[in-house]
Amino acid sequence: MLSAVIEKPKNESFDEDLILVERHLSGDVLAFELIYRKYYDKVLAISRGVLIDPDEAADAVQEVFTLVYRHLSRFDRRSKFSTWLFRIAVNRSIQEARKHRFRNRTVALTEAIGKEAPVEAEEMDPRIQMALSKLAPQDRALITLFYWEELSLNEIADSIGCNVNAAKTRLYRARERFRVHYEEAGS
Amino acid sequence: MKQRIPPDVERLMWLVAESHDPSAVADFESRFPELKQELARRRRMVSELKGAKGASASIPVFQPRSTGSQAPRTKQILIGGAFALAALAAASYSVTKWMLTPVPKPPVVTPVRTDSPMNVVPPVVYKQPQKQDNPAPVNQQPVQHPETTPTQSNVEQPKTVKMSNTSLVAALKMIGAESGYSVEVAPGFHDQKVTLDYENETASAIFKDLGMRYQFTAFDQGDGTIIIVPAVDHGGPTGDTNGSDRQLGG
Repeated sequence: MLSAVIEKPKNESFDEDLILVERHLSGDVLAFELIYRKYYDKVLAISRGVLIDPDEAADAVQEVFTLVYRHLSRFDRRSKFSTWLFRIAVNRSIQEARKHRFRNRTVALTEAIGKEAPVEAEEMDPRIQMALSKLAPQDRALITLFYWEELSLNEIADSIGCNVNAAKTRLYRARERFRVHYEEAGS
Repeated sequence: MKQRIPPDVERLMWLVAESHDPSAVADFESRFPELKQELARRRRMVSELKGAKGASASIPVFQPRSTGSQAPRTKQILIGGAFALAALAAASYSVTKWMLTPVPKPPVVTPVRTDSPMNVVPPVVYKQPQKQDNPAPVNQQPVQHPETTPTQSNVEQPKTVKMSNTSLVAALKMIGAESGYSVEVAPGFHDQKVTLDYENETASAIFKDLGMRYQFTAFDQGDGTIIIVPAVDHGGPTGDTNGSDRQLGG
């Protein structure tokens, strides 16, 4: 009974997403706007966790929703829409992180010298930011999904495209690596 | 040296650190008092990590943009466009160069008047254009008219030849061809620009006059060939008319 109560909001959410997807595919212009507004923060959190840089994360979010907008008909409805969306967000963010890795290394010195950070960008705790930045993008994605999105291991497994045991192992290793970097940053 | 934590205790400590249950924390600390500080560090780390999520102040308007898969296509279009432009530029250069190159004018065809009643159709002499910069090639072969045959009558038929600023060799070959002869020039013959103006003169007379003016002698080989030799025999014998060689106009 308790589990049914707990699961209820998820089912409603699933159904609501599916309805919005169907409305969008049938030509309802506002349906995708509702999807976008509902999931913008979550996708932004994933992108920011992986990319760290707020501007790059905001840019990646637009890329993610553009991909979803164009390929929503490919959503097979066997999984939750949110899982499908997060998977796109993770993959796209990791892709962007790899693309920007070299650029970030070369630009970092210039930014450190004189360029100020954007005023509107919300600053992350420097210690957390430093520890995250030392992780691989895949590890950052796992940390983000678990601690920021608070997804279950099943949902994380679906989002990164692996089984639950693999997700669990990878998450524990990522968390341990993060802890080491976090303590290094604090010392 | 930091002591190694057993894996099961490690997992339990993470569970406690990530939970918000004070009783679980208290229970863990009572069971593992030596890990109290470590648990506190991990709880702080988890707390700071979760707090670093942040949130966007405002949601920007969504506008679908070109996807990443279109970037390579754009790149291909740009590369293709560059090649097309290069090809267009090369073609334009070639056409411009071709248009600016002076096209050699075809030789001007001027009729040569003859007084012979046998030639109903007036023969044609090919005359070099007057404004042509390059002199006519020495070995230029004139057009042979099929109806003309190298006969004595052709050589002796009166002709009107008017040429200006043309190659002497070319003129000789034209006159010879008009009479049905193939004119060959001996080595060492000095070609030069000449102006011819003969009216009702036979080919042999023209050859002779030209030979006097430009220091050569024309010999009829008897086989339809006239050889131009760069020498003049002043007052000498005119040649054996019965032999194979015959000096024209002698």
